[in-house]
Amino acid sequence: MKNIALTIKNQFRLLLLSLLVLIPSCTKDYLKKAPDEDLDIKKVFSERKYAESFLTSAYNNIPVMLGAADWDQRNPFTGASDEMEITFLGAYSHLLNSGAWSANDYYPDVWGFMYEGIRKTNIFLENVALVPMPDEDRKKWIGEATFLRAFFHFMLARIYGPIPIGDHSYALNEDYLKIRRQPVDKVIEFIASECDKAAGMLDWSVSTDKLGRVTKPAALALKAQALLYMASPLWNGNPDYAGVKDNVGTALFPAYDKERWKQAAIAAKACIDGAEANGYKLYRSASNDPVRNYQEVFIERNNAEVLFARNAGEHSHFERCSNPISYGGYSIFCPTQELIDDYEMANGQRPITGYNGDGTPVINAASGYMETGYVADKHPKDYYPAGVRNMYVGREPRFYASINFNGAIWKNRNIQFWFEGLDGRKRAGSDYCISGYLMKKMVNPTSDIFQNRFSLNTWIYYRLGEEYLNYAEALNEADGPVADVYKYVNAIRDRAGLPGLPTGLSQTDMRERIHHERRIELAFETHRYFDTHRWKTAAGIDSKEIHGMNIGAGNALNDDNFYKRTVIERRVFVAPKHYLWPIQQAEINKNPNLVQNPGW
Amino acid sequence: MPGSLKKRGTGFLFFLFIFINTVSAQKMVTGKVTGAADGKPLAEVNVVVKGTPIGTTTNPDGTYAIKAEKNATLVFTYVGYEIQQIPVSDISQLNVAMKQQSSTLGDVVVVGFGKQKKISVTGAISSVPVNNLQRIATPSLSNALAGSMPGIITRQSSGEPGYDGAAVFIRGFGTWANRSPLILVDGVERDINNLNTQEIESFSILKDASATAVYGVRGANGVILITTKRGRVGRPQVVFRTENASLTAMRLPDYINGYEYAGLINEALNNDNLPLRYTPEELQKFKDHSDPYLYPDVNWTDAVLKKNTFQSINNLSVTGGNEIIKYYTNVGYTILNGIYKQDPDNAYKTNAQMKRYNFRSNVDINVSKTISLELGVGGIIQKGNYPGTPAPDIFNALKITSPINYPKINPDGSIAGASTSYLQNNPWGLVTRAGYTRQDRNTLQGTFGGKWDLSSLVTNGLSVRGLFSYDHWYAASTDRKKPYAIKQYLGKDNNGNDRYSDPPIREEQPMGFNVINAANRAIYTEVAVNYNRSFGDHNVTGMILGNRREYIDLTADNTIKNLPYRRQGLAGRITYNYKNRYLAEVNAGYNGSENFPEGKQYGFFPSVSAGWVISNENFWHVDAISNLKIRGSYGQVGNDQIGGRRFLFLTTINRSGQSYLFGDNQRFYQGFDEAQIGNDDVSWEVATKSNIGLDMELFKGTVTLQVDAFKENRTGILIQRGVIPRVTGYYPWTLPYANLGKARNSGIDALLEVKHTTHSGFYYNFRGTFTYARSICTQNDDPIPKYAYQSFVGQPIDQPLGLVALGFFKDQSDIDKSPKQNFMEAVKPGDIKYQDTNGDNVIDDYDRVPIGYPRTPQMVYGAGASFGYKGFELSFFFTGVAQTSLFVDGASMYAFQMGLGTYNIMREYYDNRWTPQTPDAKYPRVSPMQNPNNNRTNTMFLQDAGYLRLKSAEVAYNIHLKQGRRAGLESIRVFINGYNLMTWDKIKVIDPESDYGTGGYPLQRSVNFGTQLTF
Repeated sequence: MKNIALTIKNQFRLLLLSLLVLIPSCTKDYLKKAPDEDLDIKKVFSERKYAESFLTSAYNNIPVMLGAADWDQRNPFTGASDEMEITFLGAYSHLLNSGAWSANDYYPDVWGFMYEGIRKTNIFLENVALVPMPDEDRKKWIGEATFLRAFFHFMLARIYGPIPIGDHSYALNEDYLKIRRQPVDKVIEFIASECDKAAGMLDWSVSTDKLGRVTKPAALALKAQALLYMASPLWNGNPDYAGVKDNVGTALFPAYDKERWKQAAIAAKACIDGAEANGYKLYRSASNDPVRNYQEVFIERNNAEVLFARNAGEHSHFERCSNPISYGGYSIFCPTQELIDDYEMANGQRPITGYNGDGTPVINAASGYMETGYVADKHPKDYYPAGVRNMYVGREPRFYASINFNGAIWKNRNIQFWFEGLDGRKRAGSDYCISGYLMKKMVNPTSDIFQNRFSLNTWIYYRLGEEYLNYAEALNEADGPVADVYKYVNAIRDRAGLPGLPTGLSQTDMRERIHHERRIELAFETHRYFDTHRWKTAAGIDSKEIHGMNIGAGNALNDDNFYKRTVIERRVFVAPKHYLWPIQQAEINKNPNLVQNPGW
Repeated sequence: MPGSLKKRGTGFLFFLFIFINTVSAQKMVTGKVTGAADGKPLAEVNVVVKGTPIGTTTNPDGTYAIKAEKNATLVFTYVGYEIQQIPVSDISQLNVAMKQQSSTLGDVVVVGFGKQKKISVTGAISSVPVNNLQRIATPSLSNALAGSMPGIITRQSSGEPGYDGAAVFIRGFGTWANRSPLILVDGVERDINNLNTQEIESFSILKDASATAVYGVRGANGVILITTKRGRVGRPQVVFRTENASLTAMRLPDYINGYEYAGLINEALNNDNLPLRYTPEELQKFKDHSDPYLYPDVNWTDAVLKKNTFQSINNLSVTGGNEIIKYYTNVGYTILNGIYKQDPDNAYKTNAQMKRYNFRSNVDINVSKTISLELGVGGIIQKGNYPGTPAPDIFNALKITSPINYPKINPDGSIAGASTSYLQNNPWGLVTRAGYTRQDRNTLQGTFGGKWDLSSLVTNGLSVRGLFSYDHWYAASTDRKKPYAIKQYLGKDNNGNDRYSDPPIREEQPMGFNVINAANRAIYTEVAVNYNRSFGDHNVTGMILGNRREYIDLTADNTIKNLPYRRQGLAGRITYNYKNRYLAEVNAGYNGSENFPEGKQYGFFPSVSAGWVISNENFWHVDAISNLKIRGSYGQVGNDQIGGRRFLFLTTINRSGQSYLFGDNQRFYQGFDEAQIGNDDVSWEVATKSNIGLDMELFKGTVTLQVDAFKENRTGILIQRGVIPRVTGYYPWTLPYANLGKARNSGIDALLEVKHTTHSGFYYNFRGTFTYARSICTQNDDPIPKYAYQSFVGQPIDQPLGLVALGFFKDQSDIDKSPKQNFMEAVKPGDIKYQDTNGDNVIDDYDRVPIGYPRTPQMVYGAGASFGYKGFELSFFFTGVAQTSLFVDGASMYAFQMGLGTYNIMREYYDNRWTPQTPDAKYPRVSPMQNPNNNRTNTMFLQDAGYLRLKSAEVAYNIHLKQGRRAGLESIRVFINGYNLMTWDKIKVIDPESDYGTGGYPLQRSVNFGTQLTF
């Protein structure tokens, strides 16, 4: 009996022991668990469809400039120029305008967003050879990615100046301290040569279903713009930057070279000639009415003038920002009185030639401009209705295409910006029209906010009209006011229903005329901010009070109290500090070899 | 034939009865058990025949009856009393006087994967008497824990039904990754907050490496062990407990009224030399409410929130058993109402409400002398009803919407609003007209365990044990949201008719329908071999355990989240005890997780500990100190909870990356981009912990003291790489994670208890706890900041940075001679003047320094007492925290920061703002717009968030009914208790436990009436 018990005991011990051996062997695979067949970079570039999606993601890094009120749209430029005041307090342009920005403010993170795009294009360019596809198609993809990479670099250079060139994708184990800012002329040289490369691979235009993809004229336009910026006073031998060096002694800005203007002119002309030979031209409406000619450039998507545009979908936020409150808008894209004053009269005369010490305008009597009183009759073509202030009467067609003013007809009724009016301050909350004007250019007159009906938007980065002015400016600087300068400026004016420039202008006078023409023709297209910076005129322009109408008064359209020029903001600009943006301090903390811009 | 069916049923029951009661019947012993000190009968004393499972419990009059053999010995046990063992021999009447235990050393303590005698414990373990927790009438158990045990730190930031659980930390935190402790209910990872307090048998926390090493990669943040009640031998006992509470919001923000608001707008404009907005006549209209539609004055908080609401918790339990089967069953019903007012016109309910049905059944079966089984089933059905607008949005709207924006409703009964988008959130509309959301959350918890004593089969003291559990959680949320009509009232037209904005701001749309489902499942298996044997004075125990857990998110929305979360490992323990004087213990965990790369999945976490019971030495002759033990431990534990991120070693592509529109009609093209950059080297955090403790008992257990000091070094804290510059172009969210962080955590915790029952039957008890834990970041992956004082290295984890406010600018000359404040164009008198930390004569972000304490308190204490006499009981408990800060800031304190007319303004700001007449104010002047100089993180809005709170108080009366009523009701307990009764703090305007800002869903104060009936 005892023996049997012992055997049971022993057998049981054996069983236990074998269990202990068994358990680990069956548990080996228990933790082997990872996702099946998920994509990695290698698989992405082994399939044409996947590779295309990778390039699609890079396109996303083209900023949507329509959302000027919000930092994530990366356009603080419109609100920070003397074109516009954005009432919304969260707009980043407020920090720029008050001078209250610093290297510790991250928004809008143009730096990070653009380098993300550069990384995507680099990965694409490094791997595209692996994609099984016809070389003819591959060439176009390479052209698109090459352009995008150059474009992202230019988006950075135009605010930071000298920047690190990202010509390859960085690995995690790379020595980031080796990343340094390159001299601005090297950066522009890189952009220009990449544009040449891209232009060699791209078509002049794409089929309707591909609109939005990069074309050859886009590459030529980017090159022309980059060279124009390089030739301009901010970067071309700017004495303020003569001593700006990297921490190993590399000068980041070059000495003056007049030849740069020449190169800019040649590049612009090449773009114009090539584009026009391939069907691009200045847009004109069916009726050739000058207001419509101009207004529709920005409404009729992908018209013959557009060289490169970003598709933005139905950008309802943009429509809301620019519509008055009684139309369901936020009413916050508010042009300044200074811009209003700069629109010419229909006869080509300037209405206001300057300002007195107390802020009152110096009126050019010969222009026919009247600051007071109200018009008895409406404009024959309904540019304005009867009863509006004389200030808004007899102005050039682009004024009526670009500005919504008090009493203007908008979507078949009159806007009421006066205090008690439907769109007035009294009825608004924190969002309101601060200047008594709203931007009309680019805003779609058929959208209906209450019904949530919007149209597709595009943001035009390059158009032929701008190329004309680029060419005229560069040519005037290189060769003086030669015939081509007149030809291309007058083409722009003619489309807008204005008489040509007076003949016999000096180079200086012509420069002033071109600068002025750019201010009007390119208004709200973000060019103004960069123009005043590259011309080094921002210090004088952006350091002053800006004005609007007196929105805190008025109980009718013809209430004189409303039409009092009123300070809406006092802007701050410290030169040379504010000509370039600061590199984020966090970025410098990570890599002290990225030297900070002067003044920051 | 229904009669025969009934008969058959009775017959079956009878058979069962016989089966249970007639296993061995030799002799009937009866008697009465009394307390030795007072001679009063003791109910519920366990009477067991030694060496057999036969047992019973005494009746309320102390009597018992049990069958036993002649040579048997009866064992009498009762909590708090010494064990009595009396041989039966020929006696049939056996009366026993039980002596009160002089010490708690005989108690058993729940430890990781087992139980230990309290005397032999060498790790840092604390527990709380469960009735302390039960005095707090809250559906979320975590809210009852504050200050209850040394080492526990909690903060409750919201009182929303169903979302009111507190954050719980053990000894602060050693990491800035996942800081939550491991919570085990009956040995299985489960949610603490849907447990019913009445179901709990024991609650303890494991704090040091010795106690937690067996949990390996899951133990580093401490472990909470909860066991639920089990059956015991005795006739069935039924307990019904019902408690009904009236709840009141503790602190709601006090906002200024319409007249004050409009006046403040004028003051703001005047401060910036701008024309005033309101004429005196208009101001008067806000004041006298003569035109309530155009000059409204709405107290939105009053309009939307109720003063009182209701909560009811009801439980019915049955406990009983015999030597073969023991059972415990509880059903509970809890209802907690929210504080939203309802619109009687609605056919449906919109107020928040949480209803919960709890069911738990624990059954223990002795299959044979050596094999026992346990079966536990828990079911929790929680139903929620909420307004169509989530609580954060409602409370946000209450903050945003000023008293003068618009009336609550328009003259025609429609919801008032204005065209500006933020003004379309009329709080009354959000709460009553936006439809509703119904939630249904179901939890099923099943546990099956068994134990086999192998003493006779293999060797003495050896046993094996197994546990299997299956938990399933399912939740469905039905949204019936309704976009209701919003109109703006514009006054009367010339004919005296009401005018409204045309078209309306929003037109009414039909109620929508949407269902969201979520489900998960967890399976846990554990097998253990235990060894427990004494060789003379040497006591040895050993344990080796293997376990495995799989958790699946069944409704995950991507492949990574859908993969099961798996963990498996081994745990071992060896203890040695010589004469209860010298104690030593080795614990280890070896486990791994699927979340780490192959070859790096498993980790080994050992710990050693030792104890010396000085009072058991022969030389110890201090009678007053009946127990004195010092103990220490050292070891490593891990933390593999890395914030839900998975497979960090993989490099992956995001198939729903950034996209683009191509073509004239702008068709959507999906983009692919990088999702995660992998790191082959990723692993868990390791905590190296040491602990020194002292346990002491004075005057035969009247006073108990437990003090522990601890230190912890956490290494390998998983953080996202912080030094990779943006210029590399990686998306910030794709950057790899690496085990680069280090932190140090140290502190002390202590418990003091005094317990005494006088000869006259007066009982008193005092309990005090104290916890101090300070966690310092010692290494992170941040780039080196420009100024060393802005580095988080060397600072407490979660340390806020901010500017140091020096006061206000007095006048222009003060501004001129002070450093330039670079936050806005120009400051004015009444704006905040800051310290120029770096001395560069410019005030900017570089002047920010560490200010205040982190939000989670570094010091927590609790103290309470109970008194009992002749059925009366009185108890109360205070908790408090210190060394924590709260920024009472945000748009309601930063007046008009989002524009004139936006955001309510706290009276705290209004009454204490700077004006030329009150230059010594507490807060800066009012500006008519964003004031980036004043409205930023700075010491002026930083408040000491320490508080002392009367957390609970209870008065109860117990009636033991006389013998004659024995067949039915046995005893009655009636009680009134309160929760969150009083708070003493410095903030006063919002609850000191709130998150940064000006508060959300308020915490509740409850006054609770209850009755407990025992049958």
